[in-house]
Amino acid sequence: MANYLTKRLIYMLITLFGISIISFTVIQLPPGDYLTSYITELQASGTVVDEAQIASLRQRYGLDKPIYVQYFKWITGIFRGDFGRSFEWNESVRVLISERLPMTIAISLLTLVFTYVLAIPIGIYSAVRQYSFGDYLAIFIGFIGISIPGFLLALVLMFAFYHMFGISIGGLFSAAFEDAPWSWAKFKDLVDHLWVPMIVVGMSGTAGLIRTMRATTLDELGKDYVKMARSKGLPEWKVILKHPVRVAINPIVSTVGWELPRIVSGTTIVAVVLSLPITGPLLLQALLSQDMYLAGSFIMMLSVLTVIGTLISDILLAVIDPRIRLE
Amino acid sequence: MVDSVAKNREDILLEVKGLKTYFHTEYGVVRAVNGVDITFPRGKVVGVVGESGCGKSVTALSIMQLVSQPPGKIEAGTIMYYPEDEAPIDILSLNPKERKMRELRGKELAMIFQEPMTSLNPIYTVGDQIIEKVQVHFPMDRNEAKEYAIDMLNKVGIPDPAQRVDEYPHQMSGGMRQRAMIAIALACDPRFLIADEPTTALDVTVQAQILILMQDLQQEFGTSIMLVTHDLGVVGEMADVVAVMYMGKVVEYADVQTLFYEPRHPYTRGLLRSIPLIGQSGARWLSPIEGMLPDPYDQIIGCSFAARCPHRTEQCQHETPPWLESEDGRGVRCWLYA
Repeated sequence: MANYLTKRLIYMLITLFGISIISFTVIQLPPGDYLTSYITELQASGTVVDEAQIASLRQRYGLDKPIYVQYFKWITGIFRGDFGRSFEWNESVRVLISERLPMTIAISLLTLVFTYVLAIPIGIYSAVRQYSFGDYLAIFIGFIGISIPGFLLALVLMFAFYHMFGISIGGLFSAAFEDAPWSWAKFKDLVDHLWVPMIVVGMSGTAGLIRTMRATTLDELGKDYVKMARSKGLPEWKVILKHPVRVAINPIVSTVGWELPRIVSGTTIVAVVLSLPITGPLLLQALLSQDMYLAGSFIMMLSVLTVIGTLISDILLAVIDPRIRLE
Repeated sequence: MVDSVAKNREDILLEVKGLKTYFHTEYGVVRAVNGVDITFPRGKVVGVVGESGCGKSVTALSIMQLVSQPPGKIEAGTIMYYPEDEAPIDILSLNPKERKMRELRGKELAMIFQEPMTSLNPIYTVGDQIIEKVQVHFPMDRNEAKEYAIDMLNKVGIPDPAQRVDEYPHQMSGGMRQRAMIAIALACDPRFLIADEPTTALDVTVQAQILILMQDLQQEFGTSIMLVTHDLGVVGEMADVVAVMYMGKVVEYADVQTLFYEPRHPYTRGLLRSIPLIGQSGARWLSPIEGMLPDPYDQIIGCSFAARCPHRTEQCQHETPPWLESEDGRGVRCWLYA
């Protein structure tokens, strides 16, 4: 086990090193840099651009140096906890991300819990009562859930609520509480807003998970060991939950680690539509404006979470399934 | 000669009468069990033989009320169980999911399945799978149940039971797994044990060990066994009484000696002739039964074996032969003896 973990950690470091180089290069690939997009923006608004000022900015940000020097400066900074500065926000990347992180994690975890709590029992029901009315209903709703894009559902909900009740369901707070300090009333306001992203973001995941759970449970229900369990005289609910479901849930439990990067990245497009103050839109904007330290650090963070998530998944799989060894 | 066949009511443990179990599929109705009568004498081994698809396993599952419904459905019949000191129970009158049936299952009636690999849950230890059953029927705490499990593993001849109780099925060999399954089945001391092809999936050398084990345990516990198999060799070794099934019906019922030496039904005779015997030579060495099993979706008029029977007459093709029982308890379903 210790051997396995050491080996995995070394592989993880190599993977991350590779990702850091590739992502940094890809961000730099479009012609120009942040300053060229900045100049274009200024010119578009009719402002006169001072060449000398641009040159000094370029020097200050190190954009005149070759790309490998920039990379080296950035990557060594990360080891000291310095992720660089965002050009666009004129703020340190660490501050920018940590401002949005708590709300991102809150929404993602809530969505995750919503997804699992809803999908797993429905999936089991659907399998045990295969081809019943309830099963068809779950399949029907599941297909709708998979096929409707989250942002479209978000738009429809926003429109419907505004049209029918005259309330705006975008954002996480009402205008009155946006900048107010934390209070009980503000918390209640948050809860009132939170269900929309929870449903919108969670819907396709829930629908997919229902189908997975139904399929894996159906695979197990016909197995001989289920008959064997019944032949022992166990009550039916115990037969189902303890035997086929316990086996069928393995692939779902073991992929929980893969949700880790999603918890931090959130769902970008839905977040943009609903104007949620989470990290997804921040990354999108950083990529659009070639705000390379912000974008690069973001991608690095997601990569670290992805490899850690995969490791967690592999360890979980070995924990819940005795047939799997970590060697 | 036929003293194994029960003559008195007190000698009977379980009696299947007129059992019909059908499967309603997309393509039609399969009459898997179509009027089966079998008597299981107390403390004896009854071999139920027949080709694949003759309904022997479905009969076994019907007794346990474990037929998947739907598509399966028990359409008719009674299965009377006669406990020693209690009133007889018609198993089919019980709801398969309710308490009374569940108390019978495992405690009074137990079952060994064909595939030891797939019949044990891969993610629980062998011990857990015994403990789980013991705790349903006996008021034991986990430690007592575990002691009981170790004791059962010891009884079925698993070495180092105290250690192997914590092993998972995949850590055991096929023979060991089948022993573990027998241990699960015999836990709680059931009166009636169904063994559905218990040795089919095992190596020949291991088959003999398992059969001897079952024989020893049968004598020790006095359990009645329904031995479902297609292997007449196993029947000759183990059974006291034999029921031969064909197309969802019992065609012959007799004690094992009588059946092997004076088979009556042409199908039984055919089965016996299709066992290879060492030392015989020439054309008589092996003679398979002519023809194929009829389509299971067809409803057959007359005797279901008529199409393959060398002795068929006009009558066989139009009229269903009756069940002809002689005084000594043996029976045959064939017009030749009417």
